[in-house]
Amino acid sequence: MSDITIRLLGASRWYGEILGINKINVDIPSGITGLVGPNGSGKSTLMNLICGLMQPDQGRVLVHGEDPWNNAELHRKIGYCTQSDKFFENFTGRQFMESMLRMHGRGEAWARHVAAEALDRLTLTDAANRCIRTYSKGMRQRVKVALALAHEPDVLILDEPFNGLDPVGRRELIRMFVEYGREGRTVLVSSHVLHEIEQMTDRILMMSNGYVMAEGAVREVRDQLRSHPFRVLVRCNAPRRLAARLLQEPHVHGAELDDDRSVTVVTNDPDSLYLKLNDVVLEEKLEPDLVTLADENVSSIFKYLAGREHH
Amino acid sequence: MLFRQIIATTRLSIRRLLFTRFMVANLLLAALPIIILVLIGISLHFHRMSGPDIGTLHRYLEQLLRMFYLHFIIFFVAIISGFAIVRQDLDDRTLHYLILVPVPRWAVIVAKFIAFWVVTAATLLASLWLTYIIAMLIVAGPAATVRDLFGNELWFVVLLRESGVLLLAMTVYGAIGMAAGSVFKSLVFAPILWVWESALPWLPMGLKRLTLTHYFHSLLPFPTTPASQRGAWSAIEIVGVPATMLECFVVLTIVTIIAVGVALLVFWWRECAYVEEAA
Repeated sequence: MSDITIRLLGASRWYGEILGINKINVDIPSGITGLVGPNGSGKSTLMNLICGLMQPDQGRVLVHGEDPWNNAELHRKIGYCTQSDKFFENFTGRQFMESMLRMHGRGEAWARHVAAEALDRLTLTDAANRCIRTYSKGMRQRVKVALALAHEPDVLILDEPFNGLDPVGRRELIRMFVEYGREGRTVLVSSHVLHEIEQMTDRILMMSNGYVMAEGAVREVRDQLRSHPFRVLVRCNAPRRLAARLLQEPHVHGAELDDDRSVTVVTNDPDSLYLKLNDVVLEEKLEPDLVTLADENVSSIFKYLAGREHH
Repeated sequence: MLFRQIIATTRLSIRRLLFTRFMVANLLLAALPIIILVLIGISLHFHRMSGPDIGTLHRYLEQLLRMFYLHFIIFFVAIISGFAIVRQDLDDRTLHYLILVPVPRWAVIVAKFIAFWVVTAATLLASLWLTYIIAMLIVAGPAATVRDLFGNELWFVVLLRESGVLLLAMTVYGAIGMAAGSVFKSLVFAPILWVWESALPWLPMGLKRLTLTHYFHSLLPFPTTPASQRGAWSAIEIVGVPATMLECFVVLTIVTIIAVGVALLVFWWRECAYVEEAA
């Protein structure tokens, strides 16, 4: 595909013993791509690698065919709104923007003009001459977005850009990002809230535990996850009898007896398992006291998708 | 374009350095001799006492530069500023702003070094020259101060030479501060280095050459004061053979290049890893 802007080729990154991302192969085309996944799934690590803030331990990361690590010129084409809430606190919003934009080397007048324009787009003009330390969480978030957008980058990376914003602010930003994506630029935006991503794009990358679990349209992703095995822990008075009954179901791939009161059932269709479980409990007169997904991260992702079905 | 980028990065670094807590410490250190002189002046005035003659004052000022400035004020002000200018972005977790702009990393370090140099040179030169002027005004008055600077004694030239050594010392110590700021999280190393540098008068000749102050002293007139007139100061005079000017510049240049090189190398490989997001 010719419009692939960002390419990860077997990229892995570890923080000592802790996994950041593992062997990720993914192509991100122009337009908007949503990056969803629970906390600690590796979203920020992926974004930091794309923006050249970090290097992969293995594999390669390419943006417009170039390695972003120590590639100053490539940063003219990238705008990054990080999750970090750190600023030069004693600068005003305007001073902060102008100082950062001056470092593009395009002159004082350009920096002033572009900073004013970006602050205006993010409705920060009235607060532009106030110290950043006096800004609310939402205003700080908007300054970060303003800085990422100001130099009109071709690749816009947004890590949880809606944090701390009120509903009106969120709506306004979503409209802005959609417009940006329509111009043929590449926008990669992460969020905990799938609903927000869906307002911008149907194309998502789903991450868990440092892996890309699924990618594509939201519907396709849900289908891909259907084939992903879920582990459901059931604690009751007769786990062996329960396991024997559930193993007769086609969507149940296995059952492990943990002790004399609990069993872990492996299935690729938790919805059907829950329904069947109700029947078995009534028929066998079991007394369950716990039914839960054993894998917390998968549980979170499942909740995302379950939430999507309600909208 | 690169020149503009370095200027912009320098301006940003200067502005940020001026607002660090380290800067307050540096200003206090630089103001210390001035404060002491003003107190002496007030005391002389109230006790209707006359100060030393100009010749004695010159000797005191020379000793002040060698003992107080070289061994204490320049050392700490330069090390602290060099350390702070690299460390502030790491401590404040704002380093990503510098990495995400289209400025090569080597240029960021060069810009930071220039920023350090401008701020620290202004602070230390103001301190040195104000110390001289205030001391002369207290002892001899305005007319004698002007005569002393531009008359037969030509102390203007002496002050220029001493300012040059001051700037050289500041540059070398600042580069060491930057290297240390790239590697260490605290200034614990500074007192250790200071003890080593201050041990100069008592070190055997072979080891003297392993201190930086040996080379700074060698660049100043030697011996500064006839031995018979040194009195209590004799213990802290350089004892031994001074290094030649060429040796001084070679050694100090190598040390500076190595220190800036370390800062550059560490910054080149520096990552902004937000570990809390990792699983």
